[in-house]
Amino acid sequence: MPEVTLPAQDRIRCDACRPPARTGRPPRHLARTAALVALLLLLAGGAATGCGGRATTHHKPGTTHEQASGSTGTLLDAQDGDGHRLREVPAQGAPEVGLTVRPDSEDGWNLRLALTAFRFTPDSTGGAALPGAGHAHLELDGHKLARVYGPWFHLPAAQVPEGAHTLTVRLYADDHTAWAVAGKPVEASVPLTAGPPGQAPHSHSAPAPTGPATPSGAPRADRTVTLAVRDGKVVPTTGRTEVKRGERVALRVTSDRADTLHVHGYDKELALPAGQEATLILTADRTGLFEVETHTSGLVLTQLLVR
Amino acid sequence: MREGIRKDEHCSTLSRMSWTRRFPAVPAALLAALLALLSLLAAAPPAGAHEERPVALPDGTGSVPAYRATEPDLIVCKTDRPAFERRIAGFPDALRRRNLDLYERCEKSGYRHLQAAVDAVDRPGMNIAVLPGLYEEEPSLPAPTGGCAALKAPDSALGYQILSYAQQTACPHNQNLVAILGKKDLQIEGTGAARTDVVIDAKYRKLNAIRADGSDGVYFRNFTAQRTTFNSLYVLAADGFVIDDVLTRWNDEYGFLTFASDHGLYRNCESYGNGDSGIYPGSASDINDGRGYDVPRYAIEITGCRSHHNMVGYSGTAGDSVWVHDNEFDRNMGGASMDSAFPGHPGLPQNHARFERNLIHDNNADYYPYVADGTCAKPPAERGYEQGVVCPQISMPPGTGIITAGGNWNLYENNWVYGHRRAGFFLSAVPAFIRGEGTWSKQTDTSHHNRYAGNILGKDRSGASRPNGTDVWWDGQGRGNCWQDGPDGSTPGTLPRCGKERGEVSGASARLVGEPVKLTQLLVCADYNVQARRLPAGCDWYGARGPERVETQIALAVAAVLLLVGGVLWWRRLRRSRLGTAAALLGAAGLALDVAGSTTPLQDTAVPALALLLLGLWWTGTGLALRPGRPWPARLTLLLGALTLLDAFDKAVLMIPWTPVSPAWIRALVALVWVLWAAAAASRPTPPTPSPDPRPGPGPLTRSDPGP
Repeated sequence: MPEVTLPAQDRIRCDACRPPARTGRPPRHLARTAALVALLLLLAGGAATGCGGRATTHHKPGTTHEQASGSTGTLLDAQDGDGHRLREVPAQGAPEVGLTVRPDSEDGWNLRLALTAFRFTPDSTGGAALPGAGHAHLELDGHKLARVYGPWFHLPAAQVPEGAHTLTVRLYADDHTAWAVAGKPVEASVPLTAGPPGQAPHSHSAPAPTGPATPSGAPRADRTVTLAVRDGKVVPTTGRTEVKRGERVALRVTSDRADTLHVHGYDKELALPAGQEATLILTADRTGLFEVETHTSGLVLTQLLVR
Repeated sequence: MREGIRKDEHCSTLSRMSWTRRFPAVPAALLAALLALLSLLAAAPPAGAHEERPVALPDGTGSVPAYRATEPDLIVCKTDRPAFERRIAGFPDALRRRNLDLYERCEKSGYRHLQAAVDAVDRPGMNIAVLPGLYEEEPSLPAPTGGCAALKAPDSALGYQILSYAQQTACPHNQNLVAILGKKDLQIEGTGAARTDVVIDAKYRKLNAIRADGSDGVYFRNFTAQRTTFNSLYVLAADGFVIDDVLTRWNDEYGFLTFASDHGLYRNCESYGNGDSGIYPGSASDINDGRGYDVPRYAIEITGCRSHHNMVGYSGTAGDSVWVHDNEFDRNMGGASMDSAFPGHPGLPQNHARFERNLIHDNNADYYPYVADGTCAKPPAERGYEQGVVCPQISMPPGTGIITAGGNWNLYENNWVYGHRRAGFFLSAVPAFIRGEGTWSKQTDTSHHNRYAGNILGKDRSGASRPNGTDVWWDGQGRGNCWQDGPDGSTPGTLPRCGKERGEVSGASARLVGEPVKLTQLLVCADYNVQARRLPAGCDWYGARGPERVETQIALAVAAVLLLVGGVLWWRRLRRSRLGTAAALLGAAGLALDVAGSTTPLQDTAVPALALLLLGLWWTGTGLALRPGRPWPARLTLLLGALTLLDAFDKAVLMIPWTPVSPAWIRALVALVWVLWAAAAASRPTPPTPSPDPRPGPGPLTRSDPGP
C-alpha cells in the first residue's frame, strides 16, 4: 500500500550518528569539525546515514485514537433479583427499552424490543461494561427465560403456562450488570395471558393428530419428568418414561455444567445453563422410543416410550 | 536488490529529511513520476504516524523462550468466588479442580490485578497464572496525575507523548493498562479452558492493553486482550518472545504488534476487528539483509494463527525475515501485506518474508464505507467495533490476497490463494523517498526477487473452483521477480516465470519504474486520509466503477486526443490514401479496445495488448503512407508505431529484458511529440492541389513500402 507521507522534520538523535564517546575533553577543533560534519550531514541529507527521527510503529495518523474517559456508571449494591448488580447511569443518555408482543399465527408470540441509546454486543459479552451496549434478559414472572441479542424474539407457547403473566425485558451490560437509572433497572414489562391447555401446532409438517387445535393456546404438561446431571451421572439413573401419544411431557433438567438437551426423533433442543433448572415441554405426537440426551457430555438421561 | 544500500544496524530509525531538498539525477521517466507525486504531496497534509522512542533492533543473542509447565510463582484472580465457580463449572474435571486449587491459593496470597502480579516479579523466569475472570485493571485506569501528568516529552502528531523508556517506567499507565517493563523471561498464562476465559479489557481507555518493553523472553499464553486505541498486545524491542493461544480484538490499529524484535514465535493465535492488521511483526530483526534466498534462520515465526475481519490479516511493514506458515488469513480487506511504504521503521526496505502453506482466501471485506459515512469519526468506543465495524487506517486494495508494496527476496510458496474479487497477488515498487529516504541510489531498491511459486490459485483445499478476479496484478517494476506457470489472468499479460529452483527465472525483466498508467493509479489511490474522510474519487479501491476509474479516464482522454488529432490528420492529409485509411480504421478500433481494455473485467485479458497491436499498425501504416512526402514526420510516426508494437509484444509475449523502463514510457514521450506535430500538420491550410500530398513524391501513396 503505497501510502504517501510527507516526511516530517529531521531529528538527528541516533546514537550511532554522534561522534564516538571519548574519555576526557575533545580538542576544540575536533568538536568544531564534528559540528561541521553534523551540519553537512544535515544539509546533504541525513537520510544517507540512515539515522534520524524516532521510530514509527504505526502507519499513519489514522483515526483519532482518542482514549475513552467517560463514565460507565456506578455499581450499586442493589441487585436485579437474579444476583446481578445494578449499574447506575444518569437519566440523560441512558439506554431505554420498550416491549411489544404480538401473537404468532402458529405458535406463541413475537416480541419486539424498541431500543434507544443501546446496541446489542453479543460478541463482547463477558467483557467490561461499555456505555449503551450489552444484551437483554427476558423474564416471565421474574424467572429468566432467555438472554436476548437482537430486537426480535420468538416466544414459544410451550414456555408459558396457562394464565396471566408478566413478561419483562431488562437491559444488561457486557459484564452482566443491569443498567439502571435512579436505582431502578432499565426494563419494560407487558402483561401476557396464555390460553387454556391444549396443543398449539408447532409446525405445519407434524401437526398434532389428536386434541383440539388452539392457535395460541399455552400448554400445560400432562406429565413432568425431573432429571439431574451431577458429576457426569444422571439422577435418577437412566430408565424409560412411558407416555401416551398426545400427552404433553415436561422435561425438567438441572445440569451442573452448561450443556444442551436434545430429544431424538422430535429434534427438540434446549440450552441447559450450569446449575439452573430448565424445562422443555413437548407433545408426544409420534409413537416410538426416543432418547433424551445431553450433547456436550453425551449422556442418555431417559428414553421416552410413546405408545 | 540491495546493492548500494548500507545497512545501518546501529541506527534504528530512518531519516525523514525532506526529499525535496535533494536534486534529482534520475531517468526522465522516473522524474516525471516523482513530479506527479510531488503534486500530490503538496496537497497532502503533513503525516505524522504514531511515533515511538528511538529503538534499536536486538543484537540477536537471545532465543525463543520455551513454555514452562511448572507451578506458578504468582497468581491473579478476582474476589467473587461464586462467579468464579460459575465460570469454571463447564471445565473438564481435572482442569476445574486445578482452578479451584489455584483459587484457594490465590485467595490467600494472590493478586487481584495482573499489573500487581507483574510488579511483584523480582527475578527472571517467573510464572504468573491468571485465573478465569474479567480483568479491567482498575488501578491502572485513572488519568495521570502529578509528575506523570507533566512529563517533558515530545508530542506525536496526534498529541500523544513519545515517552522514553525511563518515562514509561516512571509512569507505566499513561499509555498502558498493563506495563511489563524490564522483566526477563516472564511467563503469563491464563488457566481457563479456552483463551476467552481470561479477558483483559482496556475499554478503549489506553493505547495498549499489554505492553512488554525491554522484557526479553516473555511468554504469553491462553488469554484474550481487547479494546484499545492502538494495540492489544505490544511487544517492543524484545529478543525472545512467544504469543501462544492468545486472542486479540477490537483495536484502532493492531491486535498483535511486535516491533523491532527477534527470536519471536506466534502460535495458534487469533485476531479480528482491527483497523490495521491483526498480526504485525513490524520491523522484525533484519538479520538476512544482503542475503539471497538461502538464509540461516528467521527472526519471527508465525504459525497456526487466524486473522480475520481486519483491514489486513497480516501486515509486514519492514516485516523482515518472518516465516509465516500454516495460518489462515481470511475475510479481511486484504489477506497479507509486506511493504516499505512508511518512514521510521527500522530495517527498510522490507525483505525475506517467507509464506508457506497459508490459507489466504475471501479477503473481500470493504470497510471504507464506515469512513465515508462518518462512523470512524466517532470516538473509538462508539464506533461499534464489537458489531463488526472496522476503520481502515490506510489505503489498500480491498479484495486482494497478498500485497507486496515494496519488498525484496520474499518467498510465496505452496499457499492457497482463492476467492478474491480483485487479485490473488499484488506487487508494486515503492521508491525510497516515500519512506523518507532521499538517497538516489535507493530510489529503486524495491521490489526485486519476489518469488511466487507452487501456490494453488483460485481453488480451495477441496479443489472446488474459487477464482480470484485476476491472479496477478504487477506494476511491472523490479528485477528477478517471478511467478508460477498458468495464473488465471494477470496484468501485465505476460510475466517472468519461476524455474524449479529458487533464483531461476525465465523471461526476466529489470525495470526501474512501473507501467505509467498503473503508477498513476497508485498515486491517485494513495491520497486516502481516514481523518479527513478523503476517499480518492478515481480509485476503484474506494468504489470507483466504470468511467470513474482513473485508468479508464486516462484511456478515454488519450483516445479523445488521438481520435481528434489522428482523425483530422487523416481527413486532411491521408483520406485519399488507401493505406492511410485502412491504418486509420485500425487506429480507431485500437482506441476503442484500449478504452475497453482499461476496464476491470478486461484488464487482465489479451485486449490491452490487442489494442496496442492495432494502434501500432495504425501508426506504422500512417508512417508508410506519409513517407513519400514527409520523410521526417513519417519517421517519427514509424518510430511511434514500432514502439507501440514493441509495447504490445512486451505485454503479450515476453517482457523485454535489460530495458530500464517499459516501452510504454518511451512510447508515451514519443506520442507526445507526435501529437504536437500531427496537430500542427493537420491544422496547416490544405494545399491548393486536390492531392492529399501536394509535393512530388517518389511513388503512389497507396503503395505499401516496406518499413525501414
